[in-house]
Amino acid sequence: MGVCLHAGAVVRSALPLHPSDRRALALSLATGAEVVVVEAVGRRGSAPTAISAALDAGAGQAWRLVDTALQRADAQATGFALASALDRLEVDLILFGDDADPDGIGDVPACIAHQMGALYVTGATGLKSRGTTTPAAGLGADFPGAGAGGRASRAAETCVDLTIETNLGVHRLGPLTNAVVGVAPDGAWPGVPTREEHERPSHERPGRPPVQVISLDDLSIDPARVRRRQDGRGVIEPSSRVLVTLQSALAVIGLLRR
Amino acid sequence: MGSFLKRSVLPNILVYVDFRGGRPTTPALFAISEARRVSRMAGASLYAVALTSPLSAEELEALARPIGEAGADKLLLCEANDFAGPPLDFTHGRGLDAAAARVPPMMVLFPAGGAGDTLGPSLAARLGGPFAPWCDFLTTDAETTGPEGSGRVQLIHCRQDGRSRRRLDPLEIERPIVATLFAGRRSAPVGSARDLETEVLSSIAPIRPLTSVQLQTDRQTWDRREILSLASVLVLIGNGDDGLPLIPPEILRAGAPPGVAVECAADVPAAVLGGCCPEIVLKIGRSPARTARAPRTRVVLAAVAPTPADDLATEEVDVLWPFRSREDLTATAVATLLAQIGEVS
Repeated sequence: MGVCLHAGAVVRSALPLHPSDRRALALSLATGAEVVVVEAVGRRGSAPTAISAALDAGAGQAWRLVDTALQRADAQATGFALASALDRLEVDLILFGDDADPDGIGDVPACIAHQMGALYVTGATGLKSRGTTTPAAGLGADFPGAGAGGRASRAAETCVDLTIETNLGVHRLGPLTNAVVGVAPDGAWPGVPTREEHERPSHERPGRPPVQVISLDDLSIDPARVRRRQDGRGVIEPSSRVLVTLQSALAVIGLLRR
Repeated sequence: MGSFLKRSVLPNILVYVDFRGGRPTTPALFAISEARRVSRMAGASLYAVALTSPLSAEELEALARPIGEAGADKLLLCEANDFAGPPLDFTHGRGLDAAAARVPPMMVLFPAGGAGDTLGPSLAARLGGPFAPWCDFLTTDAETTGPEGSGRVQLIHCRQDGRSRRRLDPLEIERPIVATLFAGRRSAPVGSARDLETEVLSSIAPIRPLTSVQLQTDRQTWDRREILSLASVLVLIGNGDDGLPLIPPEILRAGAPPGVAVECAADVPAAVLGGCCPEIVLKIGRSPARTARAPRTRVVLAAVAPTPADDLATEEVDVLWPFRSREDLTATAVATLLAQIGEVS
């Protein structure tokens, strides 16, 4: 089982482990499966803060895909690179935090699902393992528009039941074997480190596996394939938010009417 | 080459229609009316897309009439038994694919409080375009010099913390943009139901062969999610030191105007709040509860005067309405505001 940190977004600086990523990790570990965490990094030299915290929280393997070409990658290109890495790691089920993207977009996981021919579901609040099962041959290859024509069959795949919660209701879905699943936020204060992160340095867990670093070259991906002439997500502009303090309901209404 | 691609972008706007009880939701009609407004500037045609179980003539009339009045040029209707269930990508995605194949879009818009955060990213992945959640339009008329970029209609998406924003110009990006909008105020009807042409799409791909996947829906877990997700003004009441709501929600609900939802922050599942994007969020007391936010969304915090140690940036507040003590933060004071918010929204 894999967890894509920061909802697959390419990070350019050291970020803490997002509460939703922590929740995705906890749900994965509760199934008893080995958990692989993956992080896409667009700048060399940024500290592995989030991925180290994920290892401390119990992840079995940690991989960082580091390449400067990812800085100019849009969601489709990032999804392609991460899907290649996850396929190489033989991950059956990929989890991500629905609101873990620092930009608040969260479009990369859908691109990973598209590339892998996997099911895409968001809003998961529960995950229950059914153990491993023999996969259906070519699962996903016949899905309309599937990018890579589905993934190679494996000897066995993790099979789970999902509980998903949206503003339309609570649904139970399963069994799933090849899916990209968004984990719903749990209502923690955003951006605030947990008590454990305050109390324990990230490199203390004895016997913790090392963080593995790979590049696009290791995946046989030409950097020109992911580097875009322009950022397909649009032009980034600074935006100021000024906190206004008002003393009466009438003043608040006056401001809202503007 | 670039100018050729710019000319080849088809000026069609698709709006996905969420509906409850056979009628379009208020955010869906708002999305259509916003699309109508910008389609005039962009010279675009506006298509509403509805994925439903098979409808009778009367049901189709009830669905199509408000869509036509909101300003859609045409309704693309996809009917299949699978569309009766919750909108998930593996059931509803193929309907959207059929609509996008029939009418190649410049933009695909999803209303707030519906299936946009589930269906939007995967549709964008299949179309090869960007996904922009919780957007607002930036428009310029012919007499005004617009921002950098060549389009008169652009999309704006803000980071949750408000420190930066992304501006997407459909003409520059040259690929279909899939976006979700916020739950804003409805403008006056501009179209006519008589003008609305309906086209039934029959070339829908067969459902993905996942016959072993079972889907069950439990609707009784929290029965106010529909009211909350469709509201344009959301009041979230935090708890006091005693663990009780600062103001009983029933008091505020009694006098709340239409479109205003009042909830205890601790009762609302975070997953539900994440799919809500109201125009105004009024938080009574501090709480970690947060909704999605669009550029036009404003968060008002009514709270006992915070100390310097309170980090309001974490709470992403735009307007602070401080009270000297908890005794001053009364239902009457908040109800006064809510009564007038109805006029704003």
